[in-house]
Amino acid sequence: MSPATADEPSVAMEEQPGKESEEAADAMEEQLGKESEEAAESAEEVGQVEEEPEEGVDPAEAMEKAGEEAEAEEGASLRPALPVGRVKRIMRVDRDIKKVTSEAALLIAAATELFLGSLATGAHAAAARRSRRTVRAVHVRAAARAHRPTADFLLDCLAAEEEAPRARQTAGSARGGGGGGGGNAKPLPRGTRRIDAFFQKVT
Amino acid sequence: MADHHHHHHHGHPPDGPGGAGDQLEVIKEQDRLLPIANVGRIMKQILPPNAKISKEAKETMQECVSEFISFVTGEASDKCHKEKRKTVNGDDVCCAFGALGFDDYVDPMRRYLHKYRELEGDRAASSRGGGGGPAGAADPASASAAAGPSPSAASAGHFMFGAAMDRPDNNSSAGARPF
Repeated sequence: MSPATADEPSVAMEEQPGKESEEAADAMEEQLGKESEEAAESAEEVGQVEEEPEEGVDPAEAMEKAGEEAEAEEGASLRPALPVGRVKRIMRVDRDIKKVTSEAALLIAAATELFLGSLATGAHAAAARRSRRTVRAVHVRAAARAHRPTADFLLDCLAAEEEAPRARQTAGSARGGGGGGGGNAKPLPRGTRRIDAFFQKVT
Repeated sequence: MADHHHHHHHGHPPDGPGGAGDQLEVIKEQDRLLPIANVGRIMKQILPPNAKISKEAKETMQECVSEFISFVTGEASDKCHKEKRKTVNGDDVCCAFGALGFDDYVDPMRRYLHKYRELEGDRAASSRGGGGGPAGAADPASASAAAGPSPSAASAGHFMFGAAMDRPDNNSSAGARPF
C-alpha cells in the first residue's frame, strides 16, 4: 500500500501535470475518512462533536481551503486542528482586545496545538513515571508545573483546581510512592521523550 | 517591562459540563474553552496508541490551553497598545512568544506566519487573475519532494511544521518538540 501510494504521484506527474488535482482529491478523501473516523470515535466518548468554527464567513476558512490545495504540492497543511473561530473568541474574552487579524488567530491556534502536544507528552511521562497507563488530571498539572514558562501563567489556575480534588491527589500520591519505584525499573513507553530533569524540581 | 497581567476569566469552576438546566452557563462555558473533542483528539494523536486519557485530564488540558491563548494574546495586545495600534497581528503574536519565555515557539511560528502570508499572496494573485491557470501548474520539484517524505508527513499528522520548518529530517523535527 505504501509503495503504491509513493509511486502513484510520480506516475501521475510523468503522465500529465493535470493529475495533481486527482492527487489532491485523494489526499482530501483520505483526510475526510480519517476525520470521519475520529469524529465517530469522539462522539462515542463525549456525545457531542464540534468540528467547524461557528463563525459563518471567515477569511481563515478561505485560508484553510488554500491550505488544502497547497497540501498536494508541499505535503503539509497550514490548517490547524483547532477551531480558529473559537480561538478568536477566547482571544476576545479580555475586553481590552478590540481587533485581531485572522493571521494572529491562526498563529495562536497553531501554537496552542504545539503547546497542547507538549503538555500531553509531559503528562504521559508523568503517568508512566508512576506506572500509570491512564493519563489523569494530576499528571497534566505535574507536566505544567515542570515547565517554567507554563508554570508562570498557570500557577493560579492549577492551584484553584488542586484544592477540589485534594483528597484524591493525596491517595494518588500514596499509590504513586510505591509505583514510583516500579516506574524507575520500567523503561519509558516508545515515543516518549525522557525529561527526568524537569521532574526533579517537582520531587 | 511589560506587565504580565493574568486574565482570571474562569471565575466559576467547570462543574457539571453537561448542565442541561442553565442554558446561559452552557453557552458561556462553550465560549470560554476549546471543544473537548478537539483537545482529546490531539492528545491521542501525540501519545502512544495504548495510552488512555481520563476525561478529567482532558478538562484540565482545556483549561491550560485557554489560559495559554489568553496569556499570549494579552502580551501581544500590550505591544500593540504601546505602539498606538488597535489590531493585533501576526508579528505581535510572534514577539509575544519570545517575551513570555516560549523561545522554542518563535522560529516555528515565524515560519508558519511566512508560509501563511505566501499563501495569502498566491490566493490574491489567483483571484485577481480570474482563472487559476498558472497557479495550478504542477511543480516537479515540489511534487517530488512531497512524494518522498509522504509517510513521515502522514505519521506526523497534525504537526504541519514539517514543510514550514523546511527541515529535510522529519524525525529530527518530531524529536525536537518544544517543552
